[in-house]
Amino acid sequence: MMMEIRCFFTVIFLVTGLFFMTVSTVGVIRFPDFFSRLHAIGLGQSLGIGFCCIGLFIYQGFNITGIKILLVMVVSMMAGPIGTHIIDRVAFREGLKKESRMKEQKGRND
Amino acid sequence: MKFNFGNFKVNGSPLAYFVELSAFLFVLWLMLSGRTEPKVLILGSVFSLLTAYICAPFLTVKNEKTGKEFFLLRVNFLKLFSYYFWLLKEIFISGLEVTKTILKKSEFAPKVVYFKMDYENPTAAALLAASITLTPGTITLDISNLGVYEVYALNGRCAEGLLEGTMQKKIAGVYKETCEYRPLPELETHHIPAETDL
Repeated sequence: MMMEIRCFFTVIFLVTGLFFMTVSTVGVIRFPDFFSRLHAIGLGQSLGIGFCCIGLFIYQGFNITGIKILLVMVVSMMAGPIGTHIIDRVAFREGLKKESRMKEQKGRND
Repeated sequence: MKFNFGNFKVNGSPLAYFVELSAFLFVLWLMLSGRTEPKVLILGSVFSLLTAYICAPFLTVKNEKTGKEFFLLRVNFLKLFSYYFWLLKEIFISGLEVTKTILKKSEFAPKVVYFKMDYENPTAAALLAASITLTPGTITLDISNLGVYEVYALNGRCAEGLLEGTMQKKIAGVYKETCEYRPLPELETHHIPAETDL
């Protein structure tokens, strides 16, 4: 009985995480420019991985493997934004902001 | 007993930081090994003390303007934990906002907002920039030497939550600093000096 309740919550959290990952993939395709696509990737990176890790933690229970899964979540949350920030800062300083973003926005409004 | 780590000059006492770092490493050892026999515990404590002794001088960050050195773990751990859970809640709320924007394209209205928040500790600035980027819907583009943040937001509602200043205040609490946050209106942003030499 206990195991079934646990599996129920695991499935709910995993499906929520996969839903957010799917939405983030759709966003990468739908958004018009580089910086907005980074937003879409960030959604899958934080919420998708977060929900999947919480789901796996519930499945494992509070033991050494479960704690390691939570540790994976924390570390991925520390490492993810640093990579995103490096990518977007390089793009910003190389002048992508002026060129591609403005052009594409103007094209959309026309 | 005197602790002298070469040229390890920081704000506060080096010995306290050494103890803090070795305790942190020992907890990490316990979490990763998961064994509690005396042999493993003794080995773990010896290795965490040794690693902390070698690594403590390298874990300092220097403020380029004032020249002060800050230790990386000079934080209020209780507030750091409460900040982390607050951040998880915030990530969830703005994640729903971004999901709505992706599925309904009419909400897509990107804009760049500016605010000024000058921390003394460079680690606090890094934590703020990483938290902004981790929250879906907002990305830090650049931080100037004066502490002006340039944030690219997916739409107006994503930017509003950031410009309220709750996150900035909480991070100032974590690093035991005073908070001098203010948002910059559109007009002032033209006077920010351009920086290319970083």
